[in-house]
Amino acid sequence: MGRPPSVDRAEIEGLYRSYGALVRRRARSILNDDREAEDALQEVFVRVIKSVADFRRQSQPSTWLYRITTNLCLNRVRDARRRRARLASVGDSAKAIPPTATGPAETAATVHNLLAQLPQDLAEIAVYYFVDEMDQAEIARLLGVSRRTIGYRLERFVAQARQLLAEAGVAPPGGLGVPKTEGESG
Amino acid sequence: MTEPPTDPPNDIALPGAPARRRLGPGCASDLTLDQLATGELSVAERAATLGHIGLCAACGQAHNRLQESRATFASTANLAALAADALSRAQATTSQRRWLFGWAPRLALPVGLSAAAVVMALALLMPSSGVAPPDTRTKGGFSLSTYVKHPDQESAGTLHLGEPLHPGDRLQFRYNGSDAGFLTVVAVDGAGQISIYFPPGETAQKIQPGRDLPLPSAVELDGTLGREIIVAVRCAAPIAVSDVVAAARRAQSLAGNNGRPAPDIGPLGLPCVEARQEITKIAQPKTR
Repeated sequence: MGRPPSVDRAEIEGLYRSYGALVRRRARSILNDDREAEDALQEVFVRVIKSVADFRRQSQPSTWLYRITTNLCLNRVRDARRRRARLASVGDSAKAIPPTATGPAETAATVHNLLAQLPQDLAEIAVYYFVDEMDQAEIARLLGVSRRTIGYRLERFVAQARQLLAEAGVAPPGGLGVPKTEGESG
Repeated sequence: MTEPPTDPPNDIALPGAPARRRLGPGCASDLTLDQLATGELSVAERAATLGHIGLCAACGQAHNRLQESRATFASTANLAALAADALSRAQATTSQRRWLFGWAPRLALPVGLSAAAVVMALALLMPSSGVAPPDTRTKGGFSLSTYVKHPDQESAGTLHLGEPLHPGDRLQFRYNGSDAGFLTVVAVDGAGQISIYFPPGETAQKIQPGRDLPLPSAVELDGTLGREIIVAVRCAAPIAVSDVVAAARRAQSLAGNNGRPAPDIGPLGLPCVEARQEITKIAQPKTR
């Protein structure tokens, strides 16, 4: 077969030991499905193997893996939504996840559904902010953009999410908006 | 649209989601907690984060949750198997790339010639006879016709049923079907290795209805001898090639559990239409 990657199995095992839980947890958070998360875990590590030279140069591999995992999972979420739409259009029984939120599972489904429908640049930032609990300055450093840009995109994300929920006839619990009492120094 | 004139508020509520756990500026994100665990924080960052975790119940709980997640993964995941699988997948995509590059120099022979000359070079790979090629037609589905070009031959010909193949032979497929869709072709060889034969990209390629429509790439057979099962998958919607490979891997695992040797695998279990073909590779004869 083809040339083997310039990395051996022991090194890959070590990377799984250090970062496997991180990647799997993040994939599970975004994909909301254990089996999908397992597949994503493997796909991320295939990318690590294929870009092992780049990976070894990273001073903070976790940051690199966060971005790879996020974008890969968001692509999967979108692909799955397109497949559902395509299948639904030809009469398949597949149904989109209803955008409602009354408990933890429903909240996860709501977030998952929103991520599938909103632009990738907004969805990526939303994951960092709402799932990973980063503050805006941290996301700005990660993506190499200004903090104002991050705040602006987050507001766009929330506005579009509210519109989607309104179109679906779902009233989000707890109200929407931008709390002004809690502050992060970001 | 332009950016807002002032800094935006720093806390934004996600519709339908619970409030974020962060309560103050010292609170740690999951990334920071992960970096604490993997030793990526500076001494000062580490000290500040540990100090905060000791004081902040929310961050302490988040830290414990991540630690538990790491411990669970370490105790339940088969790291050796995961590593072997990832290496195998990486090699499969590498070998796919090799085939494509292996093909390219020959297509590049007419460099400097006109595009028409390139088309002629491609045409040499087309079958020279009208004999019906072997294919596998699926009910309501499609079939692939297979053509082979041996290294010492000028043109490709129909692959006849039962005709043995050799390492270095090149295969090209043609699509026959009345439906459009998104096509992926994978193969399982006698060693159990799964390879991607089509398409070269990461997503199944759109295919139009038609008869004898050549797929725009070819594959060169490697040195693994024995039977090989070629599985073509046509889906109604775009699908990641990696998803097809993962389905083949699951089918292979299931077949292995049922005592079936490679390359025998059952249906891939995708919501798509499959067509299959079996080929056999034998050692290259000294003289053809």
